[in-house]
Amino acid sequence: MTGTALLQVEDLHVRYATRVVHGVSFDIPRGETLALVGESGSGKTTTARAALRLVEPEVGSVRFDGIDVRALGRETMRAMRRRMQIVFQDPFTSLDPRITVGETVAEGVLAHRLAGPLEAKKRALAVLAEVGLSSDEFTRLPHELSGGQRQRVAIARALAVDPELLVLDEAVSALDATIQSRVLDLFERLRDERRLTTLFIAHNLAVVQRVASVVVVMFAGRVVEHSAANAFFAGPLHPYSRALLDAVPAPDPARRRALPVIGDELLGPSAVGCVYFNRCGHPRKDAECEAEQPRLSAFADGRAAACFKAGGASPVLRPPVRPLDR
Amino acid sequence: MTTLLDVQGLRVSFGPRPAVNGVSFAIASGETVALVGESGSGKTTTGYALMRLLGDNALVQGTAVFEGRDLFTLPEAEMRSLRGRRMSIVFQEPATALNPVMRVGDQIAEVARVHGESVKAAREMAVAMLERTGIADPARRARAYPHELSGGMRQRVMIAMALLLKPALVIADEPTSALDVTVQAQILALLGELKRESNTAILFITHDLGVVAQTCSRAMVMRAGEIVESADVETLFSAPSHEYTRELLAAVPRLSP
Repeated sequence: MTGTALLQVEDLHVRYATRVVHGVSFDIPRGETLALVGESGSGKTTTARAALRLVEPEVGSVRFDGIDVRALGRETMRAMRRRMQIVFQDPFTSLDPRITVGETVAEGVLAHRLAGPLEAKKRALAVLAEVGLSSDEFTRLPHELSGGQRQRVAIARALAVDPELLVLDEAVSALDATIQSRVLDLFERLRDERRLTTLFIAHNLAVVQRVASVVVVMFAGRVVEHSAANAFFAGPLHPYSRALLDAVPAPDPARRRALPVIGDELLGPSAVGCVYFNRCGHPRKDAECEAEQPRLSAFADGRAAACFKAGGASPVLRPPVRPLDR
Repeated sequence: MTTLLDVQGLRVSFGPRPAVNGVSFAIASGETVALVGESGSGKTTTGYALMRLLGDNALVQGTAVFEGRDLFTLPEAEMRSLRGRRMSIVFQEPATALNPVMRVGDQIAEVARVHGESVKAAREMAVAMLERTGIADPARRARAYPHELSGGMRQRVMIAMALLLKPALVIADEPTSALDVTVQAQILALLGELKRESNTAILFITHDLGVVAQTCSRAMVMRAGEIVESADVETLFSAPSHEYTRELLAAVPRLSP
């Protein structure tokens, strides 16, 4: 797998005031989609930014197409950026309010000298059409668009420079379901046609299930589970993964069940022992968990988890409570 | 079941094209009803119109009879006496809805102060309500400013404010859309517990059909300012009658087993 990996992240640590990413490693083979999931503050966005060198890692290596990106000089890094694009969650803050949609999308094409002005405009129109925006939008300013339209402009801007790696940081989360579904169709097509590789950060596990081949779950800056998507959705190993899955409200009143109140967010990560100890609803959690942070260990079916109690069946967590109207 | 709110022919326009175009519905005491739709459908405008939170540039027509009185013809002073006491709203983004320079305990207490409680009583009510929302060490947390709290905690503060005086109706405008799923589950459970305690009805404004299916008994689907379908959730999800409802249901991402 190492031979074909487009992005290889190894033992990544990132520190701001405190360390927020602790020894994260993963590979994404070309043409694959790896999903990074976990709650806000779990370190997934920082991991992605460090992988693109938008923040400098404290420790660790990042290889893109075999090249150590941390060793690159300014100019080579700049050229490399064309090949690795990122789309952020909030398009209002990531789009320049003073330039038109068309210019925004063509800008990267011109900056990386991929085409002359005429050709860049043509490309911009084509990629805007791909994300479902018409030529009417071409001369609009960001504030004249709806949130969904702005997000599609940000996606079009990233796609216009024909990247090999696309990092989507909650990029489809705020879109209405009908538009989200169309944008996901587009990604699936690009993945198949151009072997586009994607690091997909999302909190909606139903969306993750649709697009990802591998799921990496982060909690408090650490990877707590790293599993093939099929095995993960069939039965995750880590109690936090289980909690994330159980908390997804099913769009089906016939499968109405109490959403689990587990992993109370008011209890922070534990300072000693397993980071998840305070919030863990695993029926077999014990003194071992309280004393030591478990390492990420491999299990069957391409799964790995950092939990002393992992293995066997997926954990059943503490009993849930009644939903609103029952 | 007694009718708590009866909305007839609600129309809201900010310009030539109405944002809400002739919407009629009723909510019974203690009921949880969803107002579902995509962005721009007019669902939030409907909620704001009922709370009379729209600016002077909004033209509001129709009637909304709440506990026997039409909200749209009440003098502002009487509307103020209803807000917070008989009807309240929970906003999507507590970070912007809360006052950044006021301690959260004082913001909760203010609701009781406005409705005549003494400073001391209001403060005690605020701390008790914070505790009720599951926040540990509520007396200390009451002294925190909004930026010192997580998104989930800020939403608990919003809910504490909205339900402090046990109103008959809460309009919840995407109250969990900005939260993590595990926090969402807790906030929904909290809303559920509190509403049962005070028999509060909830108008649940959301785009999330998962949340609707799990929490509401009835749902109204809005598109382009109109309610295109209204049904109990079992019927809506199993046998949607409107083409647009079917489209929405088809687009919802689902976890497959």
